[in-house]
Amino acid sequence: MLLLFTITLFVPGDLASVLLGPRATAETRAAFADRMGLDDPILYRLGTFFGQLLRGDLGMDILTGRPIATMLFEVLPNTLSLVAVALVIGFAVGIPLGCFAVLRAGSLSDTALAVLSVALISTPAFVVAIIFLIVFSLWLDWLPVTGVGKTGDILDQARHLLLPALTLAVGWIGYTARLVRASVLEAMGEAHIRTLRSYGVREDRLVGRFALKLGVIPVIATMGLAIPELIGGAVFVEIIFARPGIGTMLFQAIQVRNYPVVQACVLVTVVAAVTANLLADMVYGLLDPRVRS
Amino acid sequence: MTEIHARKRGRLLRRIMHMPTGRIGLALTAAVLFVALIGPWILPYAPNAIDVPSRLLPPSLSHPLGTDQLGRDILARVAVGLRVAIIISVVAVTLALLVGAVIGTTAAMLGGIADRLAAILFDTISAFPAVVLALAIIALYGAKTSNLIILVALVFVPHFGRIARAQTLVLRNAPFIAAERMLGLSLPIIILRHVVPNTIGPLLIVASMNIPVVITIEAGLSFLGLGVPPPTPSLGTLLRDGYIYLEQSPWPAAMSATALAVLTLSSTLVGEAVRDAVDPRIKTR
Repeated sequence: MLLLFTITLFVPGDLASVLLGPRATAETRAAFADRMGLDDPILYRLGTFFGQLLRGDLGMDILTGRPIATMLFEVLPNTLSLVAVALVIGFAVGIPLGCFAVLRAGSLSDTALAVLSVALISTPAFVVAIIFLIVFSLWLDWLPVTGVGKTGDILDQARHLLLPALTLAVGWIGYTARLVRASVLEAMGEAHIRTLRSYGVREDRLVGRFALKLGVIPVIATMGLAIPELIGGAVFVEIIFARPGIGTMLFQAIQVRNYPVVQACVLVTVVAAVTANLLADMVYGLLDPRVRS
Repeated sequence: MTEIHARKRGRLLRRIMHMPTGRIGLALTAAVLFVALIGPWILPYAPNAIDVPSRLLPPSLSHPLGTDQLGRDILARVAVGLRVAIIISVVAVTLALLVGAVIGTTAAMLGGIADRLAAILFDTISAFPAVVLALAIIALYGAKTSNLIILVALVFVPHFGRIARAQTLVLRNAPFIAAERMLGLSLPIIILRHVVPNTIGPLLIVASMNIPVVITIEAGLSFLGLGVPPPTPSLGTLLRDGYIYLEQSPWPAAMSATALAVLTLSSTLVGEAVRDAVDPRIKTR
């Protein structure tokens, strides 16, 4: 947060003249600087910034004059549902793929899956978004492309959510598949799995029922790392599919140099990322008693 | 000395070739490098040559990847775009590696408050989602290629700083370092001659794995119009042009999306193959 504040301090040029444009008079500039507290001493500004933050006040949008916190609450559910659905899709597709790779470990389909998961991970979200746009809406004309759907109509909203969430999920699918494969393979070497195998438990049941229990734990642990990446990807996905959300809000604010809004958006994403990390750590401790000591 | 290095490198290449993913990655990278290096020399079209009558053409023999909204040859633009992406990512990663290594190593050797401050700095920067931080900074300082490189490098400094610091902390109390301190060697000399050679390996691996990530960020920012400014063709700008004219022709978008996907895939495969070949224990992602 301190970093966030310092970044805005070092903006080249006088903030007031940058924001108001070249045609602003000296008086309007001075009035603006006064209103935004630009001429106050740095430490004082730092104090007010944190003070307002603690009271949940993120400042005013300098263009419309609306409180930024309200604006954020309007779009936040869109972004959160996007990220959440993407995570669920990632799990739902990635875990079976990983288990399949374990059953076929070393075979050609295993290698093909390995390359496929790297491809899924490495392809940037905005590239996937454009490919999906071409295939699903231009070519096949299956799904709506822009917006979030009519408010109140849950089915319509779900239809609008599907393509962006799928786009965002692609990387996470590859990532989950790979992680599950590695950790389930490791779990297959555990003593209790060997015992179960000698009892005659079938291989697919060993993987899906017993080894997976251990194999899923690292996936949960890395969710903390994945969520910041998903949020970063969500910025692009929201812009391409023209969904209102934190990403679109951030981008629009950047284009008109609406710094308080930029600051607030970045702040929210950082808080979300840190919280996700913390939660993932806690869940990890709950699931795996071995790390608690 | 050089002979040993050469032999070592030969072994690394052979190990990469042993892995199926490594072979695919190397082949793709060779193809990408070929287009990027040789392409602009042998292609009949200049990347910025406008030819409006033949705009938005689908792929054909004369234009293998088609043309864009101003009739420019997409293959020629992709070739230059690949070049731009490779140069920017290599320069930015090298910069991040140098700065991160210097801060991480020095902090760990000095210990105390300096070490604490470095750790806090790294944690602070990496608390931000990389893309969001890059977006915010670029927004404030303006879209210029030099800014892009510096700021992307800044985002990645913690990756290298953390590893350099961790590696150095292990070395700091090693008997041979203590012996050199007693001999009265100055700190910079100890760091340069004896610490750096022992920490550089893992740093290079992380560097090779970060290249695709930097390529993605560069293309992403360019896609938003916040990266490499026109007229220089960047893969991101190509994709944006394609996206804008998607309704009229899906080809430019499809072609530049494919080029970008191939570039990130090939560099990721090579980066991971290098990691697995050198040290399978290091897992950064």
